Amino acid sequence: MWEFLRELKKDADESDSRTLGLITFAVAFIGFFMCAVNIITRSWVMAAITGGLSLWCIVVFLLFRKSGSLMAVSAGTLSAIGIMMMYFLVTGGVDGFSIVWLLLVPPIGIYCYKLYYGGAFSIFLGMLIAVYLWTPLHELGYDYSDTYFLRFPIVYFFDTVVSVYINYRLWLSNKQQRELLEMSERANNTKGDFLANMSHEIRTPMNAIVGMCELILRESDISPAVREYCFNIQNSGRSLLSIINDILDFSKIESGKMELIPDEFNIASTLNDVINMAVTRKGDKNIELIVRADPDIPKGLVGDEIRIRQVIINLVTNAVKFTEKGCIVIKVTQTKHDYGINLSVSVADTGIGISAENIEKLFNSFQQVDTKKNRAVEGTGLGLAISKRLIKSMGGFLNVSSVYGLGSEFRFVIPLKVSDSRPFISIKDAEKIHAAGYIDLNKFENRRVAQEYKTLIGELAEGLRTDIELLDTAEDLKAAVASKKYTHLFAPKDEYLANEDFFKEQSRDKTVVVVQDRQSAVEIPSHMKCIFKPFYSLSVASVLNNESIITNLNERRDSSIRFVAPKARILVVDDNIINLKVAVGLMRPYHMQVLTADSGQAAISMLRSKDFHLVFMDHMMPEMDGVEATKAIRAMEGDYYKKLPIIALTANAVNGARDMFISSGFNDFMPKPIEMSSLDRMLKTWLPKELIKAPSGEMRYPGVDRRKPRTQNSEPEKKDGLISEETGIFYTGGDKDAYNDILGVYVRKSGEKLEQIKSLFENKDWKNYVIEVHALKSSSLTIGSKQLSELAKELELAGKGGNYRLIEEKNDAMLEMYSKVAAEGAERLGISLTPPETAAETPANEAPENETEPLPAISAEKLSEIIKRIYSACDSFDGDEISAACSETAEYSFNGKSLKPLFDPVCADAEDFEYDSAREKTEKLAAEFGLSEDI
Amino acid sequence: MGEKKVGIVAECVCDLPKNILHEYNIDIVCHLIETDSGVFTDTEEITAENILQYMVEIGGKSHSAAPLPETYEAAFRKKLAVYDEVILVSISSGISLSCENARKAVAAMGNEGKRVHVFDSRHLSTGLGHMVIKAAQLAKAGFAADKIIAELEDMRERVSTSFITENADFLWRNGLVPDSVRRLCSAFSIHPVLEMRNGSIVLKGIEIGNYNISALRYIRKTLKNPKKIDTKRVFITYAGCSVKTVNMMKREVEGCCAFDEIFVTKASATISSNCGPNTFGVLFVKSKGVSL
Repeated sequence: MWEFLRELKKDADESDSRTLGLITFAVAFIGFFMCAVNIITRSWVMAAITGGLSLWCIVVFLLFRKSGSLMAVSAGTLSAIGIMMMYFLVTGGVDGFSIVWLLLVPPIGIYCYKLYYGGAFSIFLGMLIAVYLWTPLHELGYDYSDTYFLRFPIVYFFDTVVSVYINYRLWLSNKQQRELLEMSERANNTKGDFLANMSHEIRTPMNAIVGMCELILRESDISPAVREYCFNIQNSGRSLLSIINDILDFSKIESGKMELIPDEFNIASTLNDVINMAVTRKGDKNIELIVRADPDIPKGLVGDEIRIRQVIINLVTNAVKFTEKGCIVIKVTQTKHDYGINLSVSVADTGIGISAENIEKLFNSFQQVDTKKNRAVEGTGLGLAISKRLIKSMGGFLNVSSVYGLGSEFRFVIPLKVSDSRPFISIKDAEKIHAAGYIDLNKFENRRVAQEYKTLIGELAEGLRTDIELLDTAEDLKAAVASKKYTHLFAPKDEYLANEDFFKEQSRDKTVVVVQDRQSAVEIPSHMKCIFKPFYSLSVASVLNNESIITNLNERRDSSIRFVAPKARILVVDDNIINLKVAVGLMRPYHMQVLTADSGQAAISMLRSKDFHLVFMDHMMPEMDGVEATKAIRAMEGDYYKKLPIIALTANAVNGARDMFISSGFNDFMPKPIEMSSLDRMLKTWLPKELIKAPSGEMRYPGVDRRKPRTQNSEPEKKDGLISEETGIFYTGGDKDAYNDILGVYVRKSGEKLEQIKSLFENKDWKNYVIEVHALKSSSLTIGSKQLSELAKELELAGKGGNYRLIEEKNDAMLEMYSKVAAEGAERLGISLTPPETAAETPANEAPENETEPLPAISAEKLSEIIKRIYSACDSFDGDEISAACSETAEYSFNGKSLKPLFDPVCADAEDFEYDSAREKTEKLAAEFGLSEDI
Repeated sequence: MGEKKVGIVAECVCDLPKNILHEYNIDIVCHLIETDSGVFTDTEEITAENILQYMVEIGGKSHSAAPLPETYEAAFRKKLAVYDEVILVSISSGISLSCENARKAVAAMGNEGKRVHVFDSRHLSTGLGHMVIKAAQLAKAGFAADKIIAELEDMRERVSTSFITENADFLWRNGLVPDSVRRLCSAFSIHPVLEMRNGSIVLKGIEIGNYNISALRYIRKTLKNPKKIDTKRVFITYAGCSVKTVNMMKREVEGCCAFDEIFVTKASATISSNCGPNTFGVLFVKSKGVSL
């Protein structure tokens, strides 16, 4: 009962104060009206009373306006009404009619003042009426008939009961509605949370699948079919990840948990990523991708680059989806302001367009417009909704204009701060450059494409402040070349092929640049240059500046790698072994020494035994999670542990996460799945500056397409012989210096290996022969000798399958090729080949020395620990760590045997990047020592 | 005829559609809109929908500003490279600093500035748009700058620029009406009808009740004397109205007066940020008895 009354009171207290104020005002108004009527009828007493009551109501109204107290206005107005009603009761009004007004009190009072106050007041008034009419008190006032005395209180009571009942039903119905609404909101929130959690849960294994595919694709010895399957798995995985990421992003935005992370970035890198993605998505569609970027955009901008890129990619993806022919134009411009710049990005297409009605619902979530027409187009319908919200959270605006059937243009503008105001593209000695671009504009069916190319060339000339002309016929080109001295000639592939002799002749004293599609590139003479479409300011500037250019589709992930840190020691901690492998794989291009730990406890042990420069720590781990482990590390003695940068890895990067991690002792956090750009940023921020070095040589993995061999590269490689430098650079991490080092090792070891294989062949030691040939297969591919690798693979398989006749047939050919490859490598490096005797000398000479002086014995535990380290280093492809571990054994013996000669082959394998072989040898040693079980 | 070639420059607040601007080779100088996060160029960087959503959904504050003198100067110089003289038909000086900034630009141009004429239209939106078209037509016909300006001065009083707004919220936000008026309009469904008079925005009248019905009533009242209207062209200019509403208004205009051309145009972000959503106007030129 009391609970019920409390609910009623709460409901009454929440009633609309404005309505109550208006009622008070209305009562006052009625009072004044009655006062006026009484004055006219000369009923002075009644006039005074009604006037007084009205004034009272006005006072109550004013007090209420000032204090805003509902209680005050309720009590004030109700008391005024009560007094007025009792006055009517006592005086009877005209012929006792005024008593009827009392019947209005329960329905109106309860409706306006709710059940609690209105009901209480009606009952109180009813009691007063009963007391007045059923006691001799009534003799003081109007002389009502007997019928009134008996029946009026009963009628009033009935009136009150009906009013209470009706309002109770109303109240109950409202309450049920409120509860249903709350339940529905709760259900909606739960659904949102469930969606976010499920997406998160799916994302973790999907990340592992995509990451592992990446690692597989980097392997050299898989068949083309497996490569194709793996590539398809990776692509499908990426599509699924992108959908999941969309759902997660949307959930975060909707719940206000999306956190923008502004950092310095260069728009060139963003554009590069967008273009690579757009080219991939475009595939074989007959669409021209045109990029018009203002070269004067500042080099250093401050903003959340990942989110900006996400929005551009969303817009470009949509444009590609809905455009079958014509062009997609990505335009990036700026306007300068006191605070920095407004960056404008527009993506226009010649697609199906959007009707005016559909534009209104374009940014709704989970909705695709014109679904009948677009039923073949996949998508969650979240991309634009997310993009719009992201742009809004950056303080910018996203808008769309479209002509149905002709195309659409999506454009956003965001204000950004500037950290480096130098233009992101500039031309050295611009005044000395005179370039001509020959594009046959008549070949484009869609006139818009021709127009866009014209505009592009005009903008290039203006933006790069150099002389670039557009010529659209071969005759014009030839006439222009005859009358003017050009330094550069640009031509698309078709125009080049149609005038091949002319261009070859011109290439003697000019730089001829052929602009090609990645999918259908043709071979061009080595002294000419090639850039891939889209033809835009950055690639043109690269050619004009005579810089090396990024040309390959598959270097997307690695194109952002602008430094290496070979001496940096990194510890990655994650309980998920696959995540560890993915992380290690992603860090490989940086040439760092990456070790892994599968628990917080293991990480602490490793930190006790070895110094690291940076730790990536997973947040959620069983037993000891990342936060606990970090706290434990910070609590360890020594300044090093207090200052060691520890980065949290989390798949749940919500708003406030950074503060939480920093307060827990972390230095920063990085969202999972790891994005190359985030990783790049983290490494740049937290690694000691002296460890960071610019990558020497060409950019990462230039010119190697993992899916199909390329026919032509912009800078033709030295591939006259058996070694492809380009392939070698790819397999050695993209660094030319590193490649040369590895090639050097390969060449130097070749004599010894040749002898070894010969000897094993002669002795028909097929088991070890297979091991050596397996090693040759991998090392040969690593240095870029695919032919030798294939041959070695054939013999390896033959050995494994017992087909020794084939080995006997082809062994000589293989050894001959091996010699040739080694000779070619030596010639490239300008070194002489080491005779096998010399190569074998060093260990042979050292061994007797070591054997003459007995070395101290190592404990089984210590040796087990070293072997474990070698295993771990083999798994993470950490050659330095293997060498370090092996060198530790050099001063010891075990079971009376000196360890150095035993571990030297392991070390040698590590130097040859033969990690599998190194591990196999170590396992054998462990078995020999009887330590396999301990390990 | 045989006079100097005259080029026309206008401002984005003339709300003319792109095809008309293109047809008459009219160059546009854009106003600026300042929000909490930055400054955006009207039409190029921000649209009416953008600013209305920003103000209504987020409750963000914004204010519009006239183009800077440098912007005018650049536009004048660009036009002078092709034409002998330039006329800027500007938004009313009573409500914007545009004329002042344009004159500063002219002063900064020295002798070259003598070839630039700044004309204060005393109108806004497509009311100003009517004058811009007139100037462009005269320029195309080869009239001299002074004759064009004389024609525009004659036309100025005949242009009818009026709007009806759903409520007075945005007028209050921009300091055009006090809070009490806003509350009153909101409480009693009063829809203010505003017009340009002597270069200022004044209250022409009010409509009460359902907004759509009130808007139709506004159209009927505005076009009640078709004989006094130059029926060559009318603009229906709107901010934040649905396609359905705009089509309804267009049908009503067609029913009231037989115009040769009816253009439905969206108001610029600058105009929209000052009048708010669900605002539209019927803008035309009163008849002089002499048609161009």
